[in-house]
Amino acid sequence: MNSHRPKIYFFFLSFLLILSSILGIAIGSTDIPIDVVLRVLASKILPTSWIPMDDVSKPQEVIVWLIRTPRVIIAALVGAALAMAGAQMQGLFQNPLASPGIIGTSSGAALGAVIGLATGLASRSIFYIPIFAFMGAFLAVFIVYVLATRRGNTPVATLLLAGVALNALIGAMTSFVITIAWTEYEVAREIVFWLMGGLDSRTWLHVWIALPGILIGSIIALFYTRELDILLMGQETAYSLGVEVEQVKRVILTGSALLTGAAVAVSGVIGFVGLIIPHIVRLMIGPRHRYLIPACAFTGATFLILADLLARTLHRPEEIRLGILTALFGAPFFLFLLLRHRREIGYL
Amino acid sequence: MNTLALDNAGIEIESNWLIRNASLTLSPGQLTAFIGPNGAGKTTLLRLLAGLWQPTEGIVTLDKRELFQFQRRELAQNITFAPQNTLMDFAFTVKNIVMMGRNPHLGRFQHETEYDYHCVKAAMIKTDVLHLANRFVTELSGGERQRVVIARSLATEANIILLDEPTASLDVAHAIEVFDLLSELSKENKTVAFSIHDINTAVRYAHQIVLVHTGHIFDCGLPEKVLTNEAINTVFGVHTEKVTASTGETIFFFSVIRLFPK
Repeated sequence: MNSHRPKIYFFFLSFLLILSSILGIAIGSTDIPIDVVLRVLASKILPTSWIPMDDVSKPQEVIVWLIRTPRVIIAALVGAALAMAGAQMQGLFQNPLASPGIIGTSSGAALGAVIGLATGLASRSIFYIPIFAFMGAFLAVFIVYVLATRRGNTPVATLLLAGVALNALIGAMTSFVITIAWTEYEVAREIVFWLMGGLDSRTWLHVWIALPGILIGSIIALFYTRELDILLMGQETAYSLGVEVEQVKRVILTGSALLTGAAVAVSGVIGFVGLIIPHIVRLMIGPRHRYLIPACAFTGATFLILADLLARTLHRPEEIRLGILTALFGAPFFLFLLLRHRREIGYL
Repeated sequence: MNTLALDNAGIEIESNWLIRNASLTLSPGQLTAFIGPNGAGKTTLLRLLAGLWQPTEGIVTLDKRELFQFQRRELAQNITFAPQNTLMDFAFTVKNIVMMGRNPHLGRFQHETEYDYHCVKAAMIKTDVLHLANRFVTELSGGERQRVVIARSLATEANIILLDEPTASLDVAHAIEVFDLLSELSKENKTVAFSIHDINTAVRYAHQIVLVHTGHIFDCGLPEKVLTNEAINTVFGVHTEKVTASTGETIFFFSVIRLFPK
């Protein structure tokens, strides 16, 4: 029988998101009491005179407001963006392997950003990296789409193959750029660390860099949910139910490139979130994208906040790279899900 | 009205004519069966009629207006097509699937109205799947799934219903259920057409037979006129004998003697 109860899940998911955000701000190299965290946050929103701040030290305020809050917000934005983009692609291509990583959107964004770093433009203005990442993501999507589309149709298998080929090509190009840049040790180190993905030294500026793309991408994702449901029934059925399949595909691909580009621009390549979160959420809440997409946003955000919290605290005072951590913890979990729900999900 | 017609239509893909010189008319209240060997072009004809493919030559018209002058949504409100391999791999509930039939009537920013729910319920009652409304389609039997697909087609409120081999995976009893439903719909003045391999079922239910042979319409018209021993011999290369059952129904008895050995 129907066991999907969206409202309960959304209540639960928002609770988890708020809880993990507070924990993410409170815990770190120096732990800060939760009441201080809440008071600092409140003092930034409400009139200062309302909040007693006498026992809050200046360093505490700086850590909460200038260091950890933007970092947690970026973790939430990136996690939400990658999870939504993954859900869109899995729906669009009716394929559990489809994700920004597979069709080359992430690596396209990464290559763009690496070029930005290697040419030294990134050191001139912080906005060069997101711009290059956007362009890389869009270009990758565009190339795969042109390669895989014939007579207005994009067969799923062809698209995935084109994605695999493009990924290999972009990977080689990225390595090549890194090889050239290796002479400048600092730049190369930056690039490699950035390719592993991470959220260290993110500021409010990075929040504003990522926000527009992710906001627009989310709006597109939320307005194209019914079409994604219908596309899961196959293209011919979708056409006969009045879906302009090719146009819808283009819009969704562009939207997911926006989400991926914006995420990669501020966090580097964090794999796995776009692949696993949609699967977990689909098991909980069912395949309907009207609920799946927002639930992915919540779950992806919570997941990445907690993953980043672990990255910061597992091996104090050193940080573990976030990209390593998401793969290390996510992959076994994904395998577990795969084995356990093989029959129920059907298409796995 | 709701008359769908092919006029000298043909479609060429990669210098291969899948269908050529096809002319036929599907009228309201009429149940049409497309019969022919594998690869003859039955599905191609249905795709042309559904507006999924554009003819390379000739025209396809709905009430004298060319299909490609219609918006996709507008077309979907008038013609509904159920392809043979409908994907049912995701755990949608039956009512979710049937509600997809309302898509042609819903704007991008619009939510389902009371009327949409009413249509969905009516379609489920008609196809006898209302008791399955909250079940996952992944748990249903082949016959139940096919009824769900037809329910989704009905929910569109389209007056022209096209189905590609709707009973390909069904046993005899379930197939008869589906055809009883289709003939009931044609009595309600809907235009219904389907492709089928079972000649005997076709001859019993259809008002019009379209016999398709190597990319051409071999013959088209009343079952007793089109389906003769000679025609079946020519198109399928098997020997048949037309017999009358004790119920008075016509049956084609297939002989195992091949006229054209491979």
